[in-house]
Amino acid sequence: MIWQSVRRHPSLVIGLMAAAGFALLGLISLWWTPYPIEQINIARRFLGPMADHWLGTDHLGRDMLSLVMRGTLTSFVVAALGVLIGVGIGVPLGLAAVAWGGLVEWLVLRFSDLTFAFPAVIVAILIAALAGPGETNAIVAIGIFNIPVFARVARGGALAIATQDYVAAARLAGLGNAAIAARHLLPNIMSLLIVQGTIQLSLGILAEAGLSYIGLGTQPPATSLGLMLRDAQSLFLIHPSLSLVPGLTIVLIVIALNIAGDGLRDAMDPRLRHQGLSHGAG
Amino acid sequence: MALVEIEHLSISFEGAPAVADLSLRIESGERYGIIGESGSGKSLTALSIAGLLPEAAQVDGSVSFDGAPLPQDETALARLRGKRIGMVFQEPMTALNPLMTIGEQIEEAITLAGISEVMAVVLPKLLEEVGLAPGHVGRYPHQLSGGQRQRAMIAMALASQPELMIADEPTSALDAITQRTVLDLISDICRRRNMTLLFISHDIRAVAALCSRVGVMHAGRLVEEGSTDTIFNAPQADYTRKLLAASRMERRQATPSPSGPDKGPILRTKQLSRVYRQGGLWPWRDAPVRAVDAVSLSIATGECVALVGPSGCGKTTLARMIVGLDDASDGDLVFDGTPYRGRNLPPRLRAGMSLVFQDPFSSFDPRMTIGESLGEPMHLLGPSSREERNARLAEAIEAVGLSVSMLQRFPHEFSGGQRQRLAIARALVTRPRLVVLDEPVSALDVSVRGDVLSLLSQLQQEHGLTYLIISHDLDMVSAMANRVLVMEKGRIVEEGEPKRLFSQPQHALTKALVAARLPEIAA
Repeated sequence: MIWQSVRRHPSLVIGLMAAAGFALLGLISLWWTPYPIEQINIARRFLGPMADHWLGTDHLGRDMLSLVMRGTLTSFVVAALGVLIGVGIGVPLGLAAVAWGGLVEWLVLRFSDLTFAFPAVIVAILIAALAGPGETNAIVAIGIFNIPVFARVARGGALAIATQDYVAAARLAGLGNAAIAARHLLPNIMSLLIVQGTIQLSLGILAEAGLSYIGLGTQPPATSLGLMLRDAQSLFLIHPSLSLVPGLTIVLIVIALNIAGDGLRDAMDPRLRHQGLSHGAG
Repeated sequence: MALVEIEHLSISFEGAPAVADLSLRIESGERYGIIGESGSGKSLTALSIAGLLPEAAQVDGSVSFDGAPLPQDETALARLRGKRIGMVFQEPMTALNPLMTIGEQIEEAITLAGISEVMAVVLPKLLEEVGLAPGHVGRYPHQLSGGQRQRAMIAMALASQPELMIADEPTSALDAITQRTVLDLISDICRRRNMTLLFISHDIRAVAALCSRVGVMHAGRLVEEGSTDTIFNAPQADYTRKLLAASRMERRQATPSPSGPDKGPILRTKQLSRVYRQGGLWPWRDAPVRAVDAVSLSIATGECVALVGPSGCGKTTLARMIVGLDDASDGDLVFDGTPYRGRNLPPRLRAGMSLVFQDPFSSFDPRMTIGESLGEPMHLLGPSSREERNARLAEAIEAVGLSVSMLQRFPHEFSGGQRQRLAIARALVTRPRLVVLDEPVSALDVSVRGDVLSLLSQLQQEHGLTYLIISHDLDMVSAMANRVLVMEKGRIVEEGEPKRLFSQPQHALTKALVAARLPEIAA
């Protein structure tokens, strides 16, 4: 069933494989990079692509490929943890809004309106002002930004499920609101959440790059794709490749995740999946 | 000269045949009916005449209209549909554009027919013909009732003076009274315009009342064809006989069960009301809607009481309060001697009452096995051991004539009729005394309706159940119920034994309901 729908959506395969490829590249950097990323060698700076340094070296003579690998890892980890925070807090909020309704729903909606009003950058500036810049702060800022997104998606999906007769049947069977949310609502909105998760992951990677670029995210000597852009910015006219390499990496990862997200939506949406026989026939 | 000629038509989707080797001729001026159950391929056959089959369909065979094969070219096909074929669909709410007024949509149909220069004459004439007032022109689809929307659809189909009108289940989404008026309207128009009609329905009586020739479809094949009289008086195919037998409702409840009414009421309501407030922030702007208005009723143990009424009369709201899904705004409910107001029904009492839903497709969680769904109401009985639970589930599923092995399977593996049996099994798991049935068979195919009703009356005898049936189907009600309550606008307007009530109706609504019954098919 799953494999059939995967094969029918080539974009899903391409997107997932490309995203997984980048994630793997990042993971490898935990154990091995061509050169240690902290190794500064001023004598070998600004080298072009060559056999020793596939992507050249930066203004401190560090190997660009090693930097990109480690930077990809940072970006993925920050974005994924941000999504996890969003799912962990947002989804229960959204489900509670539907299961309890009334005042709870009003509170959840107003809370998510309030959080929506602050972009991730503002939250990050606030956190940086209080606790100083760093990776953790980027994670928290992206996580807070994700909470209302998942709360709304969960609420929207669950609202449609809550009108189904089997939810009424569960109520008749004496199940409480929490049990209904866990047994009936959550499993039936799972595919929706997975699709949204993929899209939020790509947005998280962009946000992480943005935060690092303005100096609120990852700090040296650690590296991230956004930080590499920031370092290369002043040299763009002289050595454009220093900006192009991390920039293109960000673009490719985001495109891969978006294609995967769209493909997942097509493959999982039951309205599209059963198109053909079961409807229209009669 | 045949207007439509279909020869050896086969339609399949990814190798799965939906229509197989179908040949039929519809003569000019004829009223042809196709009867079939869901999945029999009757809609696809109709769509193939209009060249509207989904792209994924693989088609074999030929369809010709007025002697010429259907054009392959999409523009020519669209012109043919616009000028010579009119279509009316099942659900007018989705077939009409919600952002355009009825008038604009009818005008569009007139323009597409290429006679826009006579718009000023044609539009009022069309409206009059389908029975819409000139004032309806400026309204949007959501501001009209179901019957008026279907009338607007018919006006659009008639705009081009088509030779053929294809009506695909045009009345199945309407309630009994509206259904009758729309059928009469279609019949009148066909006679007046001498128009050919292709009428598709699962309702044998509607087809019998409207059509002169009938084809019966089953599993993609035309099993029988002939004039209405021959088919219904001397059916040849087994399937036709089965359908005819199923459409005749036999009385299933010979006598009210002997232990009956003297036991005292199991359920009583006193001046029960449910009021919905409208107008949001300004509650005084709109009068509150009284969905259920001071209803007092009592149901005796062992009785089978039916609640009938047109759609929107409040019968479902009443049922929801009785089973404890909604709170009463005013008044009292008493079940088994314990008063409650709706949702505060204690679990012990909840176990004594259950509800079977109308739609068997949405009443099971697609991600849970049947066993898990059926076991859910067991919570009400407090903690129980695994063996006890399994025994109860086995008992319930065997009571509805299905096997224990089905408990491991998922809802999508079952047909509509089987699912409704499973829904009844779920309702029986806690061994309730009162079962509320909300349109228990209206979503099912005709041939399985009879089985489900027989099952219900058998279960009633065996377990001494009390039923409250909610329906608008008078035939089903008179076959099942000991007593009928007629509801209109939230109030119960008439009650009595079904036989007497339907032969001598007193209230205007009861009279209208009885008059809307389609004639029995003579056997």
